Amino acid sequence: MSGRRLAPSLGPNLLMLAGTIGVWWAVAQIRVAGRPLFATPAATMGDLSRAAPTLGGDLAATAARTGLGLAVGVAAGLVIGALAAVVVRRAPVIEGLLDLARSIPPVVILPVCLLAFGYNELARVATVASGCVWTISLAVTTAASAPRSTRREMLDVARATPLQALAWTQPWESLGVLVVSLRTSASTAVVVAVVTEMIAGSERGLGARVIAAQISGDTDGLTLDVLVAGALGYVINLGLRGLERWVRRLEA
Amino acid sequence: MIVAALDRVGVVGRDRPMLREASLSLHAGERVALVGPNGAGKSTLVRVLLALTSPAEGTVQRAVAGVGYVPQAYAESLFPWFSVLRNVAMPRLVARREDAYDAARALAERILPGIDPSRLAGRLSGGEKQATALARALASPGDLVIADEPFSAIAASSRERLRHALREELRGRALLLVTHDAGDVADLCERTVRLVDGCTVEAPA
Repeated sequence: MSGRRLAPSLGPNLLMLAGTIGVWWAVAQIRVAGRPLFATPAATMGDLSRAAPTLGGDLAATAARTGLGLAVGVAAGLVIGALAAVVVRRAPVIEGLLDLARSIPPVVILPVCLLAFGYNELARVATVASGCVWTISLAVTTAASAPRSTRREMLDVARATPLQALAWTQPWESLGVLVVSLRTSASTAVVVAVVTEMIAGSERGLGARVIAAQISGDTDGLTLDVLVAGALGYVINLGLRGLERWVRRLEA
Repeated sequence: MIVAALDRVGVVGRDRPMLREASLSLHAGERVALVGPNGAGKSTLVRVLLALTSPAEGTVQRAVAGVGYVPQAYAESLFPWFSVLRNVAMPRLVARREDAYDAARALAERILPGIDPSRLAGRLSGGEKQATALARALASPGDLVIADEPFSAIAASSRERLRHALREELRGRALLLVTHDAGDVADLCERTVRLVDGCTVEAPA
């Protein structure tokens, strides 16, 4: 960014940052039942040095569960969505059933996964995956059921086989919808991963830190963990937003 | 030899008939202009010939295979995620022709000078997209090219060059050209068919 472009945006941005820290500090002064809601910015930053040795490992554990769960959920969603698209043409009731499945909050799947897999790593990843699978499968079903495009007609004119037509169009025409649903799924994956760590007896992860801080009444640590969980979701979203922009440019 | 034909074809739209007893025969190597006012049914007739729209009545003799086609919605017909070269090569790739890329490269050099063949088709300007769609139609291995207003987005300065390229690259194939431009008709076609209210009328030579 050139100096000239940086100059007008720097002032308002610094002002906004200072304002946010000010609001944070003000909220941290609020006492509910004698305890602060949040730690102050200074206390949170101070806690960062204390927590640093273990925070990285916990962040990595949550990120790994999120990434693995998202990958499994996307893979399963692609298969389910493609199968549903084939079935929907013959039995439209499937579309309604998928909508119903999508309305089920991912977190309520947790007890089902715990019953099925026990309190282990597999259950945690399966829970994250189940949180993403419906979003992706619905997106795939919608994309695959879209009306025939002009490109598909061109392939018909060229007498392409159904498989050729599918390969030339489907993955690419679905890309826009898929990337948007991938962003939604990633946000869900972070939430479900942290909640799962909180309630499924995990020893590592941001969720486990949050619960430990809550039990010990460590407001500084709790504030830091909440912010780090938010930062994880933000970074994943940022990366996927870049991917979405690239796809949009490609489609333009 | 007839490469494609319609006989007394009727197509009904949502609220009115699009074609009524429309007939047309395209002979091998013949270059025919299809003209008529907006909404007369020109694009519908083309779609019936290509089997993209089913007629309510009449008979259609569809071209054997490998028809080159420039649709009116040329921009939406390209594959924006593939290169210009792959787009031009599409008809031959689909037909599993080994010469697909060589033929596409040669056509791109002649019809799309100044356009990098490795560029993504989605990044082209409107005129470049239409020229790419024309190159793709000419890369088709069949004996008929159907072009629905193929120069509508081409700058006047390039139009003459592309008309010339189309004439040269037809190489004995039949052409059905949908156009509003008298210059296109005079330059490229030897016979004119007019569509009036969905009916075909053979225009005098």
